[in-house]
Amino acid sequence: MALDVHQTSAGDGEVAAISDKRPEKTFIDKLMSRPESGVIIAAIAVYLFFSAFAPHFFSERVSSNILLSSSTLGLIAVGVAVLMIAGQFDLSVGSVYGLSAGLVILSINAGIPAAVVLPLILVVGLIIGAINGYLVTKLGIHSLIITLGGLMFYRGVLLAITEGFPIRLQTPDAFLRAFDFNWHGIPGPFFWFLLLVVIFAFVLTCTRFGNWLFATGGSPEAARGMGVPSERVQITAFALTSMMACLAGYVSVARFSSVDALRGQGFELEAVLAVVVGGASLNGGYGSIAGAALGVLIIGMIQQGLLLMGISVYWYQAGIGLLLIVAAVVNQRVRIRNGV
Amino acid sequence: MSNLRTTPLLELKNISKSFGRVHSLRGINMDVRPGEVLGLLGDNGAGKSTLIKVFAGVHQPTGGQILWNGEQTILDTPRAAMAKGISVVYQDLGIIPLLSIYRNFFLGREEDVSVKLPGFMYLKKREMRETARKALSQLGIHITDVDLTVARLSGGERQSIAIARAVHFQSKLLILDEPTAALSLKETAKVLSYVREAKRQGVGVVLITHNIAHAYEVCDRFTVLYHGRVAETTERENVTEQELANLINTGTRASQKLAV
Repeated sequence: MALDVHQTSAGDGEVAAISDKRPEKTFIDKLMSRPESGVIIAAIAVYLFFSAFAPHFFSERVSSNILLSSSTLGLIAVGVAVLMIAGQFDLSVGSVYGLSAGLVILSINAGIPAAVVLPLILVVGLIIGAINGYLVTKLGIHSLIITLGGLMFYRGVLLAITEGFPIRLQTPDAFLRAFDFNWHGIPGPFFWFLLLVVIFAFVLTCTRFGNWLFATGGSPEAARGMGVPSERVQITAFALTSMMACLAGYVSVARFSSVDALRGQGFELEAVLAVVVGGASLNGGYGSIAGAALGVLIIGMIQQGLLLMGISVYWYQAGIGLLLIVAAVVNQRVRIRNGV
Repeated sequence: MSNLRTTPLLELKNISKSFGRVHSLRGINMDVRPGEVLGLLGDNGAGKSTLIKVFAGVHQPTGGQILWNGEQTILDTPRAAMAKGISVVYQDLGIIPLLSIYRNFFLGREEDVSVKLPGFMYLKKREMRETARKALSQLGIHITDVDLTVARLSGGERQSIAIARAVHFQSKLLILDEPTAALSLKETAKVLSYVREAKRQGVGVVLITHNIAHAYEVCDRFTVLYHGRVAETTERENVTEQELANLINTGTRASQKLAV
């Protein structure tokens, strides 16, 4: 937090004229004034790099793969971004995602129509998140502890009910299949991702709830003093995050018709990575949904790009680790520049 | 000059507050009248902060009554206190640094500048910017770019925005917690002039401060807290700065060689 006090030796009224003593905004200032500025540049750089060095990077199939592999992580990352802006973490999203996929398959196999399972699994997500939120806000236990417990617990439940073996849908379901369309090479799950990015970007920037989310993340105490129900806002953010993880689970069942017990393992950290690369602050109160979405796409591009270049898949992890460090440094510069 | 015959805006009767076995407030009686500036003085630990939090609806008193315009009331949440017209500008928590000026200005009061749609409220951002700019300039604060984040402003600028916000939303009672603690001389003068402006508009102001000189400059009356009790409430004419210092330090007007 940099305080910007350009005291000039002008006469009276100088204290009041806040904007006068600040230098004019240059083009670069305007360009860099948004949280997602860094990630846009990074996305372009990564895209150009692989365009130059990875064969077939432009092919429809590769693009389609990138979009598809980004979609489930993207849905999760949108929720994680909302929660991080509200000043909290959720490490349980990967497990909740896996468990929801398992529950969806078991329910449909038990004869419940997929159209009914969708609202049910979303409600399950809301409840899981609300419990996390309640424990964190009302009892004042750190979100890392509560959701680390959640990570173990929900993964453990999934392992126990599947006994470690993959489970699959027994009969195809028309409603479920409608989720998995393909439009000019763009996979269906990507549209869900895109739709939710648009919805949440709107909610965050244009609604009262969005205002409250940023305020709560920026300073829960101050927000409360100004009449924002901070605790309710954070509980809602937790609920939305788990709901998004469950939605991702549903969409993945529509795509793959099966789930293994380790589905989504590590997603909680990849989602945090994408959100931070997208310009959000770990301290809350700052960030963007569009940035998080681009962060997810960068991860997808690196994954596919390295594959196409014939580089061992082990380098993928090294690659995104490096990406996070570089992005964190760049975003820090952007934030200092903007005085945040 | 305070007019004694009007009903007090806010009156506390025998208010006490304990945290477990710690008794922070022990039977506080005080009142604030419309259009006056009341100085609330006291040393660290005298109970000032706890008392403001009772005003603000953050803490619930363990005993006693709160009267708002002569009627008994309960301030159970900050929102309830705000709805009555009580605004608190906290020393360090008055404003959200990462949020832009206009968003801070309307935080918690978005109803007037949004379209209510089923399930959510859509913010009319253009109107928010316009209104914030106008309201600030009415207090003599001229900002063209209300999209600046508050983190880029100085302490005095932040305080002035918090005060402008309270005045704009027609607070009837404005509580300022150490508004001049972190400010330069020039900024202090500005903030004190906002206090006078608020008073002129008929707002009751409670000014909490350590700085007797600042308090003596703008306050009409003083209530001095000493160890969780009211040491004395007095008009400005009937007390000197030295006596106020003694009251803060010892709870009586007599000097005990402790005074600053």
